[in-house]
Amino acid sequence: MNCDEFQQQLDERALARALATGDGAAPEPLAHAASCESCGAHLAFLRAFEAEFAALPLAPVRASIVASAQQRATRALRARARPHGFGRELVAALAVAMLALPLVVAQAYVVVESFAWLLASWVPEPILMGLGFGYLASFALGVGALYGSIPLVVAWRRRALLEWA
Amino acid sequence: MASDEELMRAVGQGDERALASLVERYAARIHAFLTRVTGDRDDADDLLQDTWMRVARGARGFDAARLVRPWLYGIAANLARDLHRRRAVRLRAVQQGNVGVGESAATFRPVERIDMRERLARLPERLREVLVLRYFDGLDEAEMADALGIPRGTVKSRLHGALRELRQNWETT
Repeated sequence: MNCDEFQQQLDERALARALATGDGAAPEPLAHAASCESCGAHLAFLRAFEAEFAALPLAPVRASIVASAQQRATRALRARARPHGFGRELVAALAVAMLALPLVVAQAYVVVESFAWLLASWVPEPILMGLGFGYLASFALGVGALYGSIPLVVAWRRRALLEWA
Repeated sequence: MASDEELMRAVGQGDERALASLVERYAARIHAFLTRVTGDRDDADDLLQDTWMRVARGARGFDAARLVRPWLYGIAANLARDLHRRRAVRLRAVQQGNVGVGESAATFRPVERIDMRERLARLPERLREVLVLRYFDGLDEAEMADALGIPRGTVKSRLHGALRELRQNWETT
């Protein structure tokens, strides 16, 4: 066994807090350290490490912190246990998205009519119709998604508040 | 007395008393771990709360084949790492003068202010956490590997690396 291996064994004993007691460990590394300068220095360091770290002061956790952690975790557990399908939120999202319909129709009417009037003499009618429908669909989807996200955000926020309150 | 794993299964089914038992069993130890890893008691207080929140949220999906103790320490270690990462980003922003209005360097607690033994504090976080888990919390290599999501060989090399760094530090002081 070379010095590196001896030092690793000493490390493991120190980490198991068994350097001083030597519990259940072979005596070779200690005997080797007594006659080897490098391993002797390593052993001296490990003994200093043990002495210093074993005495590391640590204030106990405050009872109020533990109680608070427990309360919040319990609330989170209750919030998780509560049934929460997305069905209701989805219906609400669709309903709110429908509220965007008049806005979409009005906007589309103004834009499509204006462009149709401007472009009628330049662009063939089928292309103009395609452009109009494309615009209408993308605008309806965008505004519908924006409106529809409101109930989902509200539901998510309510659930987060239940957990964190 | 119920084992940790039995308690965790009960928590997964919504048993609040089982959660209370786990908190009672582990809160002090996790807090001590967090204090040693972050070097700041207030941070440890906050992270302890977050740890138990995550336990409650993750209870239902907890893998029954896993051990609870390394899982708990793993959550705490991840939170401590996230905090350290956020601080490092903030520190860089402060150093580059990119702090917004109302924020200042004074609101950031730099690593130098940590209140614990200097030697431990000077270790890189990845070495400090394995040393604390092994020496103070008594986790074995397999548990540490599970907690930190790293191979056992890496745990071993980090432990010896931590002692090497400490020794270098010890020799220079």
